[in-house]
Amino acid sequence: MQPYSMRSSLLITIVLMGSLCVGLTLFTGEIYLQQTLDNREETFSELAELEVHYLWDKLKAETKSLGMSVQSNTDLRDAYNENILVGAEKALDNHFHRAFVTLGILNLKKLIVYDTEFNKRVQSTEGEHVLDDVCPAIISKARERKGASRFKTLHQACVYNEEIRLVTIVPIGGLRLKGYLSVVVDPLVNLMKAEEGLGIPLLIQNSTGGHLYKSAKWPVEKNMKNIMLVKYDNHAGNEKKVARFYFASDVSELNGRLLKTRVALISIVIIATLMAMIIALGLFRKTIIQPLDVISAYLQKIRINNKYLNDELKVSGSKELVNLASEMNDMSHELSRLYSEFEEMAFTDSLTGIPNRALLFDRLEQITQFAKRDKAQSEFMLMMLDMNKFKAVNDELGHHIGDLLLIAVAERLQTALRTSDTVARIGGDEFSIILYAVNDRDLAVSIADKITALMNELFVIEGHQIEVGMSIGISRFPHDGGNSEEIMHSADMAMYHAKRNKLPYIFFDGMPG
Amino acid sequence: MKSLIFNMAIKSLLRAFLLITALVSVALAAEIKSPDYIEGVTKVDAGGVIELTQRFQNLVIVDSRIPGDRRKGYIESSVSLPDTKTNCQSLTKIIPDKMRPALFYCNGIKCGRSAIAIEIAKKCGYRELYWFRGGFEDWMKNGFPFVKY
Repeated sequence: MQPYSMRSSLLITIVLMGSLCVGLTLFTGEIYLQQTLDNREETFSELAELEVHYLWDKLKAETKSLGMSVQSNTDLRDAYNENILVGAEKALDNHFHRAFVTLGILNLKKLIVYDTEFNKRVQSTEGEHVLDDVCPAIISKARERKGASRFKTLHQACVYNEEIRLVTIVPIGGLRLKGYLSVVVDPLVNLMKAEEGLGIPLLIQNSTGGHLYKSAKWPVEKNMKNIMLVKYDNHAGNEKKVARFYFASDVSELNGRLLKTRVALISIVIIATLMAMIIALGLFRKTIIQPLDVISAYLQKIRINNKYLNDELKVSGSKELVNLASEMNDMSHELSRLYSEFEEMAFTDSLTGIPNRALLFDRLEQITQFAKRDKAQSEFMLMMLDMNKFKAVNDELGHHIGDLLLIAVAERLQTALRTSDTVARIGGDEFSIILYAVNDRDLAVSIADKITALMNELFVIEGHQIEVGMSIGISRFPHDGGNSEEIMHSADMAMYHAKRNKLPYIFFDGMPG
Repeated sequence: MKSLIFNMAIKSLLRAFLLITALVSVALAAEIKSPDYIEGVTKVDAGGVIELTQRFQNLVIVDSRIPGDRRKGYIESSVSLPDTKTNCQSLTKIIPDKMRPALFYCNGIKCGRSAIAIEIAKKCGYRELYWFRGGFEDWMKNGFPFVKY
């Protein structure tokens, strides 16, 4: 897997959190919508129930009123009492033409007269034809009654030919019971008024799902999206439902409001996420990225050149990185110290403490390279020195005295030179001197004389008086060689010539032939 | 001038007093309830009325309400005789025989008319008195037959 930068990891985390927030917003919105719709449905369903109950009660009161009015009709009573059934039939039919029926207050379907034992005596010719068993349940219920309760009015809603019928039974003859009158009405025209009562389009289904009534305002199929259907099953005192009411409640306004809220919430979440990203990135950049960049640049710098090890690494930002930088500073100081120690060890002659052959070469290299760019400033002289009697000292007095002698020689050589000049021990008893910016032979001669004089003085090492001579070869740059090797070679040649001829010193170009 | 203002003040005070008295009496009247029990009278409920009609073919049912209330419906075969018009003479017209059973009712338990009428009937010497204290309200609640013009 490719490693992610810290920045993209942070951004991915924030975006994930943001998405999670959006998801949660949508989810809670959905739950809220469902809850609101459920509450609304529950409220509507209770209202629907109340309304339908109210309509039934009103209808029952109206049928009872009608029943009372019919049974107290003197034409009917007289005809019935005298068993003139045609007259009774006519009296019943008359009621179909009275205002509360013709105006549609009641949809009267049949009027039936029973005797006190509930044997059918006569029925209206008006109304529905076959109504023998419109509601057998109420007849058997009425038959079972005893005593005073036989005078009570009975109501029963029944399903008949897939429609609903309300049957109301009232006694005939007031308190002198002569029989019973059954009033059969179709309650649909009354129940439809629930639509007006609640102000919502209504659909009434019968017990098998067939439509009994469908409002003209009932929404068409494609508009159903914003419609909440509230269902109410009406049992009207029966075990099974006699009708199912559907109310089509328009929830588009609610949906619109919820959508608006949702859009607002999501916008807030997105803006908050973006702001969180900006702030987090800013903080991240300030406290982590920038310090890390500083540290990284510092490490690159000290890798290229160790002289920067002593530079202070300055970091501001998170506490951890500041601590890290402080640790790194301590470490780089330590490294710097170790490095210079190693350098010293590498370029110093361990015995005498003066520069060694490597350092001499390094300086020669530097100065000859520099000469290629700036010829005017590049003249120098190189001296090669060889002690004349060192081997004898070593053999006769031992290495310990030899070593002490070398140290003493190095010290005397340094006193003869300017501080800017370099004296190095390049071999057992060989020394070399670089005289910087010297083109004057006289100056070189005076230095050579000074060295010769110093070397000719006796050395006293642990009580031994030792006489030391020096053979010096001198070459001039660039006159006697164009690079470090050539110029050393020339000085060497001169030195060997001086040694062979027992001369204290000789210039390379001063050698004969 | 002074006495005129004084007179007016007295008059308005008097008016206020009368108004308050009237209001209080209306409030008290609204709280009037018929007694639970009347000495020497048999109390019956709605079912009891039906039973009486079956028991006594000659039962007289007296509606003690004012005609306005009666128009809202009444028990079939009852005779209208408001309590305000009840006296021995008017009672004799509808119940000639003092031993004939008679039942009194009005609107309900908050209506005192039947109780007043039955007290008068008692004083007039009627012996078979029945009182339907629940009245027409209770009658309708039981779903018993009624007549309405």
